[in-house]
Amino acid sequence: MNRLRHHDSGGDARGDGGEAGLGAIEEHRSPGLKAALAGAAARPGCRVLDLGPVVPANIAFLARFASHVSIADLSEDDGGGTGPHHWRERLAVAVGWFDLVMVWDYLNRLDRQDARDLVDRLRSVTRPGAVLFLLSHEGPEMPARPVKYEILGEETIRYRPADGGSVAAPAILPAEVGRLLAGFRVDASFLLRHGVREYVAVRAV
Amino acid sequence: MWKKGDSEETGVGDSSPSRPVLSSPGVDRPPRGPREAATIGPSITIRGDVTGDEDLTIQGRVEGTVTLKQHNVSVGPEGRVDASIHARSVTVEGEVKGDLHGEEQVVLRKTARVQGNVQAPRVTVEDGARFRGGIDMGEPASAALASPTRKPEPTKTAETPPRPSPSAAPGAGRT
Repeated sequence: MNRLRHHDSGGDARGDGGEAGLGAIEEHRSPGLKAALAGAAARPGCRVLDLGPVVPANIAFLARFASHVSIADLSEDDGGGTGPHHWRERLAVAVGWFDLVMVWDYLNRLDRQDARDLVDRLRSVTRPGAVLFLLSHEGPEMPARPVKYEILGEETIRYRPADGGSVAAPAILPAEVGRLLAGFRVDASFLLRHGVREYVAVRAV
Repeated sequence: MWKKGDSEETGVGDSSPSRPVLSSPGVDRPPRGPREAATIGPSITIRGDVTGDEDLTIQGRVEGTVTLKQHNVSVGPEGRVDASIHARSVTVEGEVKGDLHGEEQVVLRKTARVQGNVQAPRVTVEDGARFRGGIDMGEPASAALASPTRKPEPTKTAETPPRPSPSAAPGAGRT
């Protein structure tokens, strides 16, 4: 399966309720973002790949230190498809090398094989030392549709979930995230009070 | 598609007004008023290279290239462009598959759907715009971030922030 999980949100989707905060616009402190930026932003001519949709505030924030931002927008329907070739097409905007990749919570929205294929593709567009920033929902539920993550500052993110209720979160434990991120080393993870864990992973040599 | 939030935009580049200049005098003709832009109407399809010496509004369909380097090009809400656009200012409300080069700026309005690369000294993206591609921002003044003590700015309009002092190391809180 290569469709994002929000396309499968039929049976267990809920209009609201569930975990407090799901479906609401909220601001959260983000130590992981701060750590990711510290690792990547000092690079001259930093190039950023954002797997989420274009968010004006993020472009403005990244423009402080990045010379280039590529927006892949995986929130749009991918029409199915599987395998490495599919991810080459979906990440066709990822031309050249990137120093920082904003993965957000997309690993939660893919099955394990798709997640591995995505990570493979990310490995091919990064060099040693490049940084991935990921979020993972560790609570029982997560927003059914991709969340717009809006960077308000180097350690503050606003979550802007779309309509669509919630679905069961896949419960990817840290050890499994480490295995999925083949070729990257998890440098830090931060479990936040609202049940999201942030990861900062660095491309290994 | 997903629910769009309130209109919000950001500008990348200099601090000039976010709205494009709507009139531009030609090189060898009297200045034209802002309402004298040529229009490709909704029922018109053009395949080939579009060049000229006046502003252009595209409400129809263009496949090829659009080159009006001294002038402004607008792609209206119903406009569909499969072409790269080179202009002084490019404003998109419709659909573009191709690269956008603005000598001064590129503006993606909230209804824009763009697949391609954007290159301009100033890039403005409104919340709700759909975009897939790359944005070249030029070299920043420094590879530095805001002070870690800076408070978030929950404003509806985000303009290009200054390039302040270097960031501190990652904070505590590791688990």
